[in-house]
Amino acid sequence: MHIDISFSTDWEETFKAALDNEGPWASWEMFSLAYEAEEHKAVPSFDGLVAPTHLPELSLYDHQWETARRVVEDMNGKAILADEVGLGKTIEAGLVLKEYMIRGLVKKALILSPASLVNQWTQELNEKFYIPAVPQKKTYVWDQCDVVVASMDTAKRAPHRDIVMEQPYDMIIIDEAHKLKNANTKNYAFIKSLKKRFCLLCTATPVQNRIEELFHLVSILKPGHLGDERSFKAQYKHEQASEDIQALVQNVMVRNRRDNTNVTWTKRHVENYSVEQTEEERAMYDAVCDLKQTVHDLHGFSLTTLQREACSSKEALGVTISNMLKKGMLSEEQVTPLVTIMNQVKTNAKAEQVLKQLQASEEKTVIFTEYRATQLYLQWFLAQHKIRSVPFRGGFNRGKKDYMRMLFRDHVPVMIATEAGGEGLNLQFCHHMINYDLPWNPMRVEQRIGRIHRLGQEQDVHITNYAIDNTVEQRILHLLYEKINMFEGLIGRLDDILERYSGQALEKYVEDALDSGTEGEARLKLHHLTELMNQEDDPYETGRSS
Amino acid sequence: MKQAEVHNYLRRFFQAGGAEVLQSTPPKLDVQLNKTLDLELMNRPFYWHYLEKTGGDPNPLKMHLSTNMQSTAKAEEKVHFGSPRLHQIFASAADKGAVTRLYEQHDEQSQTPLYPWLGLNIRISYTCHRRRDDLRSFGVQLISGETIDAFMKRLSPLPLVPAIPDYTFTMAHLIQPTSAVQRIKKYLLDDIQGQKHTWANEATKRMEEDLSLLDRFYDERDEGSDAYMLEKEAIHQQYQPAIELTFINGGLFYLRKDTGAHL
Repeated sequence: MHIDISFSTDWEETFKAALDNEGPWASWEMFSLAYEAEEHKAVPSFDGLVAPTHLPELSLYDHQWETARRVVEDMNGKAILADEVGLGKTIEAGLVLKEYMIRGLVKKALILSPASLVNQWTQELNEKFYIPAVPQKKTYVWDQCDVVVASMDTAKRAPHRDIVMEQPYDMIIIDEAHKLKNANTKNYAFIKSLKKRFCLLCTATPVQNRIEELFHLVSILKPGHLGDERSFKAQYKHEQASEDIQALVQNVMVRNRRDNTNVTWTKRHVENYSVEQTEEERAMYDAVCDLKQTVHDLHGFSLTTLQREACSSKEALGVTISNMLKKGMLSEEQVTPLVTIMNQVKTNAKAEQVLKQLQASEEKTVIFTEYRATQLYLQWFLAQHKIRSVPFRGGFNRGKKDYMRMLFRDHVPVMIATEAGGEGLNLQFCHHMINYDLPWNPMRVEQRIGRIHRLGQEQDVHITNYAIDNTVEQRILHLLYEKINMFEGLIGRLDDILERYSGQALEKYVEDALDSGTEGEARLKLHHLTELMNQEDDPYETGRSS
Repeated sequence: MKQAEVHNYLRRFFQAGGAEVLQSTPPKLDVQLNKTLDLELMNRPFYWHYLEKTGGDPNPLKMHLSTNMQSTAKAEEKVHFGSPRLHQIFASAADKGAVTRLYEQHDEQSQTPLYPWLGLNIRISYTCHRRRDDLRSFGVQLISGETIDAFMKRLSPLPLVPAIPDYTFTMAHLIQPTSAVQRIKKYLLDDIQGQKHTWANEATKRMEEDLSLLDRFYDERDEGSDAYMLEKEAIHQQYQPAIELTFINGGLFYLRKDTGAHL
């Protein structure tokens, strides 16, 4: 064992200068005050958290305190913070960062978040934690500021990349870290190439589709903790090994769930609206289904996509049809009849229903849709009826996202968001949400709901799901979502399900199930899935904090 | 640090710094700053620069502080342990109170000798992936070389003044103050090397565990690669046990013989 011992010699210089110049000498009072300041600042013990004593105005939940303590004491400052959406991962990460800064172990820190959250992170660190974080806007910020918040996209690009690599960061925090699930991406390579003395990865969905994703996340923090990739892949398929992996994962991951925190949550009220299509819309949907007969190499995937789009808006459907035509997946002859039928469609029954709901209500409402074309259509449609709305989507830059959120908060009654815009957006000030159409991965639905149903939400939240009668949309709502009670709050053990389906993407499973030969078969397959999701026990004790 | 302590600390700091305390009824503290403190604490270099150029009358600001955490008054600045303002003041005190030379006051009517001491306060930080601080305070008598611990505590009841009192002469030191500093350094090093550092053993164990995992992750042929070296360096930085010694403040203290004997 080797211990580095160092003396800081600054004081000796000051003392020598004072001896030579006969002063200036401090009064006894100032001398004592200087010593007392050190007494107050000194950290008396290796264990425990000192940060909360520095933050008397921050009210912490037990699970947040306990999480920070575990990260510092048991995980040596390298951890995946994987609380379910809305439990305050930012607070936990801020607390850990503060703890290390007070203890003098972290001076320079880098926070990488989605562009839309850069300002929010900066603000929270400054206001809640008194950490002088600076958003990266100018190049000089990298080397002149100690705590920098930037988007991953900026940091990994030239000329920033080289400057970032040179910075001696003591801690790196990565928000929405599930973006690093794929080891073959530029993001992954970039993060891997940064030196990580202390590191926090924040994500509500450490596993979205397959367990390898978790392997890649853990390998960023602690390479070798789950072995090497080959042995890991060979191992996790066996039941016993899978339990070993769970145990190992617990050593680097904290996952608090809504139902094992002492947070009192407001209620979720859910309503499902069945919408009857107009005759013209029905004809359009049927024509899409009929494509299966005429287009022989139309895969289940493409057909399902088209069906779902037909349930959303003819605009959404039109975009995909025209793309498929360009790519030669559909021929002119196949498309023309469909387009003729589409041109007959004059009203969107679902949009009309949504309009009625909005007109009958005074409440701020966020509408989620899967499709950009639908988003544009809805915005236009609502404007026709004097309802102002703001769009929100992934492609907006940071400033625009902040601005849109602010407009929605302060001025405009409706926000229309696409999936890409869903992550990390905090809308606690709103408690009404409309799912205009539904994603097929329950984790993503949970992320949507998490935008409004999170810590800080003081009112019950109201969720309205729209589904068109006798379509794939209604089937997925009835066969999957209603059965797992996800809208009511207890979403079961989604990540366990996904782990058990290791290797097989859930969305693919759902699509395949719906694509089954008979309705009975589809029901059976989805029933199987919902049964798994509803299991009360948690055999693997996945990352439960105890 | 309790809010009442914060209030007292602030009041003492501003008084010692030469500001005028206008009101001090906890939780409220109003002070009229002087130029030095305004320059240091109020962050308005342009104002002072402008004043210097134009030769106007300086007008240092007033500060309205409150240690009441519930206060919502806009005109008041809330201060608590952990707030940037208090830490700014801590830093200012550390700077202003770094070195001193003080004499023990006495009522003797005949010539009284005062003996020279070097006092030195030190922070010892034990760091690895965690950290703990230990404060030590030493005094070295500069004639006999006698060295004592907890010097600050012994000084605190004494009346110490900045100028040499009447009927007083100081004894010349035989040991240079800077040599006394070196003695304390050596004493500390010996002391540290004689200790059992279980914390460092623990950290080293964790470091070795993580390094062996790293070796499992990288094939033998990759072990010279940049990626491997980078990870290895990160693990070293995460756990490497280190002890940092920082001199907080210190100075010369001229004390009466009988006081010295009590020390």
